Amino acid sequence: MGELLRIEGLKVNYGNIKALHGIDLVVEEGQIVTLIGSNGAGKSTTMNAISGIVKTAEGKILFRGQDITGKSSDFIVKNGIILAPEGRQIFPRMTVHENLMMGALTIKDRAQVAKSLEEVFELFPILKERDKQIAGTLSGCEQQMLAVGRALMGSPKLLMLDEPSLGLAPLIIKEIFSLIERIHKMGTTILLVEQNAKMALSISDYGYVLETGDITMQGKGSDLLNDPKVRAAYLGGM
Amino acid sequence: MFLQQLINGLTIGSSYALVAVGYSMVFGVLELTNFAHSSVFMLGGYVAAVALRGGLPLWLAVLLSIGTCALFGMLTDRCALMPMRKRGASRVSYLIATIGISTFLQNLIMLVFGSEAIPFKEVFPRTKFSIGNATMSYLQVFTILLTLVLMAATSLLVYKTKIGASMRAIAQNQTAAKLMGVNTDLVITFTFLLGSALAAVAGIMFGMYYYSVDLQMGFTVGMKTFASAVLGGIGSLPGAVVGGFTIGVLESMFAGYVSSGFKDAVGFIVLIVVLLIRPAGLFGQKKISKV
Repeated sequence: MGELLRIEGLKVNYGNIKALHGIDLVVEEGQIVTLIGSNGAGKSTTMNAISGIVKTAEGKILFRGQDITGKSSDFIVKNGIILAPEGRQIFPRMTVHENLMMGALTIKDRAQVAKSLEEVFELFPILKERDKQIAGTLSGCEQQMLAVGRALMGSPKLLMLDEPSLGLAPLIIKEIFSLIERIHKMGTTILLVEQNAKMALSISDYGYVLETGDITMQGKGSDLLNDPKVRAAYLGGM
Repeated sequence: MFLQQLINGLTIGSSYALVAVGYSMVFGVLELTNFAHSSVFMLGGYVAAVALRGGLPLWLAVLLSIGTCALFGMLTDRCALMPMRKRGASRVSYLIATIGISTFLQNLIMLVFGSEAIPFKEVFPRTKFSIGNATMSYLQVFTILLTLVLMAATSLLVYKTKIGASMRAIAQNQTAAKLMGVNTDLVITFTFLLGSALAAVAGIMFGMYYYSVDLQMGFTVGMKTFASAVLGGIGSLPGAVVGGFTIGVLESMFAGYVSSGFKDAVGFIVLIVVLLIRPAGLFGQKKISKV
């Protein structure tokens, strides 16, 4: 179990607005790591910076010891960091099957693609049923499953999930979280961004609290879950 | 007369369809109307005409024309538009850039090849055969068939290959395409290359059919093919083909039944009517903002 991802002093600006003020973060291989925080704290920005979608102003991103700061998104995807973005971002006019195949775009080995497809169908049987359906006509929950399934098709070494529970009914959120745990047990390292802090921390090995561009707290998932400050700010005082 | 005008319309519509596809594909990936596209069509016609006049065999002239246009299309993106993408330029800036490129290319053609029309050497037998009371030349048959074959090949590329899937992915959601590992710059440049190559073929066909190329062809055909793309639903591949053939036939009918002097107006009339009645076009998405 080595270090998979290391972020050092990461700063991101959108014009004059400083979204990240220099954050440090580590994801160990085999972990689920959660980034919690309120709206606008910079959670999605962090993910987008790791993916190469957003330019970094300063700082370093290391993946398996290799410096990937400022690399293009296709390079980062090929190296095994795959993001299932916030708001699903599926290809609405492609079929479910075509969407999944887009996820496997960088994989040359056909046998591996077939194996991934089988795994995705096992995790999300509904996608198999909807295989030929146009993705834009799926329900929100199904679209979320498609977004996660599509990300898995690229055989990620690090799977990043940005708000997978957003806009879903409580029962379905439970299902999504149990699926995340299953994906983790299959051997994928996960970096999770969630507003649903309680559930996210309860399945995480480690957590970071992000507040307006700075990491203010970090610790084991269970420790954060019991921290009075975290409870007050993010867990509704439960 | 109806049949005759239909045949003529389909022939000229072939060129329109091939050019319209280029407009549509570029619009699909960039949401940009590439106004330089019609000049590339003209370049294709000129290069082939001059090469043939210089005594080169047909195949070489065609290859030279396609190669030149493909290269120009590629450079359009690499030298002008890609640097603008990196800086996050506004849509209007792109539009103005393509108009600039168009002006540049038109004047370059005038400078290099002169301002007089260049005759297009007759390389294809003009033998005709009759269907009912109409006649059709083998050149017309060849033109229409070649267009259909090229369109089928383009469709296969767009719908059955990885690069085609990448093009469609960019058209539907560029950020998501990047997250799938699509090298968006590469795919966009390829789209320009492909569209320009098809425009070259259209330019050659146009020159062959009218026996000459001149400096007006870019503008008039450019406007008509833009109308074709809008009629079909800009961004839609089958739409561009149907739009191109439709404008060709309408124009030909207008020339036959009303006036040949004003036939160039047909494309504009169609453009206005489509924009008034069905702005998304025949095959377009209802939501035009992301096609």
